[in-house]
Amino acid sequence: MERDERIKGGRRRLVLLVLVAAWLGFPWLVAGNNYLLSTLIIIGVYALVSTGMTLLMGYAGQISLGQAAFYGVGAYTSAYLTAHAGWPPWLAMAVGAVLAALVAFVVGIPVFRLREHYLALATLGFGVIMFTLFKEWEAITGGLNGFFGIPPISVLGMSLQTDIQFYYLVWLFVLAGLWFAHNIVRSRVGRALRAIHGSEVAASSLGVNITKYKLQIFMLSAMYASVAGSLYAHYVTFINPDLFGIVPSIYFLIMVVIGGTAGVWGGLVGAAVYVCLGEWLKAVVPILMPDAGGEFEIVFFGLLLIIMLIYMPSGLTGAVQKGMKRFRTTAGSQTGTTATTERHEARSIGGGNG
Amino acid sequence: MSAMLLEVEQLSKSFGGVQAVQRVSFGVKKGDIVAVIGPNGAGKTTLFNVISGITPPTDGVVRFRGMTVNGKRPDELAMLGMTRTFQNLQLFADMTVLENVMVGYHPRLKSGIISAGFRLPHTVKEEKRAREEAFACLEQVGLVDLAMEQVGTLPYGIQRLVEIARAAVSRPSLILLDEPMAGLNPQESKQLVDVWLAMREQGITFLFVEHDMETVMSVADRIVVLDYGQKIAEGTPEEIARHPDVIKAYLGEEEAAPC
Amino acid sequence: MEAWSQFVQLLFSGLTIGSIYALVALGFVITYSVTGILNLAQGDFAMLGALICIALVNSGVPFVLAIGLSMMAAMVIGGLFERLAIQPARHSSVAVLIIITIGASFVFRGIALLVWGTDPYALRPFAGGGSLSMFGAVLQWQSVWAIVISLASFIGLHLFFHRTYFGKAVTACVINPFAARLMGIDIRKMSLGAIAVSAGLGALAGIVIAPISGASYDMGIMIGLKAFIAAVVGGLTNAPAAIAGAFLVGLLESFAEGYLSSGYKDAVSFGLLLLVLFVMPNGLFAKMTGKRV
Repeated sequence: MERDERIKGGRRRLVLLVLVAAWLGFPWLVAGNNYLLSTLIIIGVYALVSTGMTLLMGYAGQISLGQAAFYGVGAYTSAYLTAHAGWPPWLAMAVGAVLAALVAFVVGIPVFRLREHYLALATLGFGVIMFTLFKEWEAITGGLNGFFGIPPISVLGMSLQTDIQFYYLVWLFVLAGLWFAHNIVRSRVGRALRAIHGSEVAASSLGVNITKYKLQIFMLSAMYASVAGSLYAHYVTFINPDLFGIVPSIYFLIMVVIGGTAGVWGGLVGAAVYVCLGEWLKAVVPILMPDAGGEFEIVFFGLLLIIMLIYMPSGLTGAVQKGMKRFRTTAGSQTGTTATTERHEARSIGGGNG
Repeated sequence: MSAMLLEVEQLSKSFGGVQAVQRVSFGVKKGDIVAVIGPNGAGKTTLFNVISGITPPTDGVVRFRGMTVNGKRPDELAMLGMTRTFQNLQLFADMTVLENVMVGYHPRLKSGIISAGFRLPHTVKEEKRAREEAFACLEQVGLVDLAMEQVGTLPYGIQRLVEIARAAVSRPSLILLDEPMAGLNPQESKQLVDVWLAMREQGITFLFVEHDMETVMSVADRIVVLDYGQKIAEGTPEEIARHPDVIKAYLGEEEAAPC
Repeated sequence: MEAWSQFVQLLFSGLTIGSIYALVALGFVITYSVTGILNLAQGDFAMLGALICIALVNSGVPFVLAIGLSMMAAMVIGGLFERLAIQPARHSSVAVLIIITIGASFVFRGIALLVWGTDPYALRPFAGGGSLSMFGAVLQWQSVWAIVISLASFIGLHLFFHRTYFGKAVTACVINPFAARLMGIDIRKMSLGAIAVSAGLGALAGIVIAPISGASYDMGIMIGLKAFIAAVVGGLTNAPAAIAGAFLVGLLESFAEGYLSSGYKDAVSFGLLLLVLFVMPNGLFAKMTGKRV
């Protein structure tokens, strides 16, 4: 088994190396095509949010229907502190993350005592209240008119203005976020989260403080979303409340459902698929239905959500995992057991049919 | 001054108007295997749920290792050295056998979300230790070969063993077992009893609820008998077998049964 | 006297919108009681009912017939939704089912957007326009219709559930599905029926409010969520409490809009939701999924 593990580890490292090389070389591959670069930047930003949500929903099994609120906290904090108070962008981002974690803490304490659908409702209510705050607190957020003129972010004195620079920055964050999430999953904390999802009463009887872990992972997911929001604000330099309401929250949810929970990279997969599908729709729909506008997107993703939850509750990563397992068993390489020591995969959100 | 690991004093629990447990008192000595028996509905599982912190007592005291633990949460009790198994098996179905048992080692580890996320050296060391302990425990119950199997796919008897391994891996002082023999065939039951006795050698005390009289009589050092929420007898298996109230409680139930 | 008449005005509009919320909330309660599902697409039936009715009326269908037909159309849509989206997922967790209803809400909204666009539409008031003056405030006749129709629906449903065999069968399903099945009651038909009836109620609500506040593709979201809050206040299975909650929400909103600002009125309602969720002890909820250990 040791030798198989080393082979698998080596194989995995090779794949990782290829991906990292692809990431580094991508801008050169596409000869600085700004459209592709900005698409990838957006995928990266969304991937940060959805990775945090994957930890929360896939591993700990908690629903959040208001995650875009934290995304907004980061965005508006960075926007306000850098534009109106002249703070350095990194400090503003950090403050945003801390603020988001605090909000998550305050909201989480009562919310996690609720069961199932009440939890979902409470996060929805929280999302609406935050959206209203973004809309009404015009002094800070600029209200429905939006917030203009967010200054750019700078690294080591060099201000990041081009897409290429931002591309590298965002994806550095994505990689760091994935690494952090991966570490959590294969630790005592990750097991505790999965235990909570599996059976709260058993987890508790084994020493897992349910509320503490739910709160912590909620706060962590809030920080992921907040950092993503800050990055987004500095990239597009203009934000408005509609980016942080119920519908965006549901889109983040859709990313997690698409990506699935067989690994921490589910969030990234879901974000990528969502953005690519969106772009594909924008290209294809005007040809098929010239009168339809962006509305078709809502129908499409609504249907996709329903279909995936019924037929593929473990998402794409879950389907891939199952396919790989079947491939391995039919190839006769193992007697049906996985060669890895731990599988680190979470239950599907549905839990049942997987 | 008592050598009692667990003491239950005048413990009562009522739900609305129903008195599930009424003023029950008994003690469990360190190193003993104590059984709680009684006809159906006697309040045994409720008693367990109160002792293990799942529901607070309405009245009375629970003392564990000399400390009053009334109203403590189950996870706090686990940290103090009390774990349990469940009547309807609460395994983590989507995790492997090894992972299930590793969860059981949770109280002996310390990494929080930050040290885990940054993969600090002490986290790496802890993880190694957790795996080793889990494997050692699996070896003890004879399940090492199944370590990588998903527990949901395993036969019921094996699942029961996994659950007890999971409850024992953190070397608790006391393990509560809620109907551990339920659904097991005689061979599986014997296997489980052997595991118990081996664990007892290592210093774990057991308190269990059971209906299987053969097992109870052969394994238990002391027996506590409940009927309608009250303790009606306590003593060694021989004493209990001859106890008139116990006989009446069980026979009386038979007499009342419709033909 | 101005303060008084403003108060009465706000009171009237609160009662009006409250009666709409009550109809939709009743739909929630019926769906949840019979199927255990929180249908977050419930509000969109109001939107569909209103828009379909307007379309029918505009193409010359007699008014009362249009109302009946659009209610039926909503019920058919609800039935399809139940068969296609809910039934296949009936073994999934509660979380999944809630998200599925969210997906359905998106679909309904998107289709409405495609068919009707973003513009608001108007439906003529039921008995001609006009209003009456009471206590120094103006009460539109349509508001009176809204309140009266709602009350009539409540009474009708009450009689249905408590006096007819079919209604009692539904109640039986709620109390003990297994026993109900033993008695020959088909649970799946009940599920279909419950959602269809809820859709009809929602559609009626939308039709009744359309003459007052217009109809557009996104009117369902907020109506649904507010009615939801009302249902939660009642504990999700208690119809009279849900109705009371709906009027409470309507009044609260109306006064918040009048005395604070319209921007905050949503926040006030959701603040009420959070208050209720956190303060009401878990033990009062009827369908608690506790684990017997």
